[in-house]
Amino acid sequence: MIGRTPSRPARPRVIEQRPRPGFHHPVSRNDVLAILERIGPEAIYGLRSIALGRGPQRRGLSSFGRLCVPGQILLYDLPVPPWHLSGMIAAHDAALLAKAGAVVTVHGDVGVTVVDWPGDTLRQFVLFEVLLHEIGHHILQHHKGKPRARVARTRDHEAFADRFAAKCRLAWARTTSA
Amino acid sequence: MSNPAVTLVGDGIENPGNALALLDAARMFAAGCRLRDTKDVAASDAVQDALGGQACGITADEIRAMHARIIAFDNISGAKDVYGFRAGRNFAVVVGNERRGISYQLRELATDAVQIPMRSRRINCLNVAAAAAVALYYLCGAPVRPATARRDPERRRPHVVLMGAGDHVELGSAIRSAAAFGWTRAFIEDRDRVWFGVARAMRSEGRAAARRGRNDIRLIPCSIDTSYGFPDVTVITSERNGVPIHKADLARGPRQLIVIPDEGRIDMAAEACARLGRDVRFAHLDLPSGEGVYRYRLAATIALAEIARQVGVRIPGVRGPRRPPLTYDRALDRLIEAPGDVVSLAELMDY
Repeated sequence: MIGRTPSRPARPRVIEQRPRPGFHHPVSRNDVLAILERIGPEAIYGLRSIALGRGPQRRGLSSFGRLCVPGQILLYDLPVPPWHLSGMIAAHDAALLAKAGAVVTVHGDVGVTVVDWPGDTLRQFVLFEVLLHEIGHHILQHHKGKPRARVARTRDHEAFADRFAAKCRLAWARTTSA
Repeated sequence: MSNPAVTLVGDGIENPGNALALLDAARMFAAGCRLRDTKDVAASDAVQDALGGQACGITADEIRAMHARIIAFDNISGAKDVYGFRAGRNFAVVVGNERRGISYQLRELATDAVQIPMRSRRINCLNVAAAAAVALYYLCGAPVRPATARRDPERRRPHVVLMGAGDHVELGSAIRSAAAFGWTRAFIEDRDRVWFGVARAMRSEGRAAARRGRNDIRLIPCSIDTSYGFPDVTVITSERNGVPIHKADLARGPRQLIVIPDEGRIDMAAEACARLGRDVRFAHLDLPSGEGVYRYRLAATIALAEIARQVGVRIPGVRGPRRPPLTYDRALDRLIEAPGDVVSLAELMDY
């Protein structure tokens, strides 16, 4: 037989870039590879690369990650906790962070929000709420076979990505507890 | 007075409204108009009234006997652009059926094939009468240069307002022309309420004229007291006011607003032009006819064709600006700014 038989699907490249001063990558290359291994080939099909890169050069904290269609995921570097955010974050964002294990303290009198991440919570937040969310976007986008077109309304896209991340987190929790 | 050296021939026109508009287009340019009437459109009452009992039919042999040069005006393969095309003084222009174009027989007879370059991917042709008006404007009028080749012509495209149209079909055809020439949005000043919020029948006719099923141009309704506030405004009129449109600069980009009023309804001399913008100039359509014939779709399409010529085409081989990649972000919503005062360093030190 000529040629090689693919025993396993090609894994996406995981690229790690040095974080900005005062920032860090909460997840390592091995964490990313481990979670890709766990969620299986269906999710990583068509995924080209996952980059632990530098965030946008705007002041403050706004973005955690991004999917660049087709198949490139960027996980931004994040400030070392605790985060002192000028202003108050929206209620649903505060709920999301709190659900992920963050301690969100709003100082309304001075207009500052402090977000602390005890223990391993920030790493888990980036893996399960950011990376898996972006993979959910990738699956929906890739499944439709339209690499350049927005295949669903933004609200539906986000809902699908959230559902995918929640499903993976649940499966992960079951296997871990078992 | 009709110019017997130029004849506009409608080949197989099937809509009486289009036949009437063709007659008007020919009268605007003092040209003769004949119909190769395979659809019996000349028998309709409206066309008979417009002709006043005159015969307007013509056969292929008669066209050949009348003119040595027969120009097929259709977007067929090998057709040259109308911009910069020199037709001479004696010719016949043949425009075709609304759906099928020019018949094979007349195509074979034609000595030249000329087309209007379209910019849209979805609307690839104009209303037949509007196309005929553009043909007559460029073939009978002052010679112009071919469309300018630019690296990024879209940066030179001005905004357009279609002002005060009095008829929904005329406005629909003008909207179709705007889309065909590459505009993705246009302001509509609908003074006579012929487009927005109209009865179902009028709405259907207007949308059909605009080919709204395929035409994805975005129409922005504006009221009569809208202040546009553009730095450069050019009003295109059929009055001899300002420079001819082919000498005016109509491609100054998004900072420029081109106003195309329906002069059958609007007297631009009585309009308050200050609301349009800071620097308001006039340019006029150079129409040879003194008969006072005016149709909005014809005037608007000629104006739009001239703007499209000046906006130009992309240099062959040069790629356009890249579209931004499709991205999905995981991010916090914008932080709500905290209320507070700005304090200087001196105040802070005092404190």
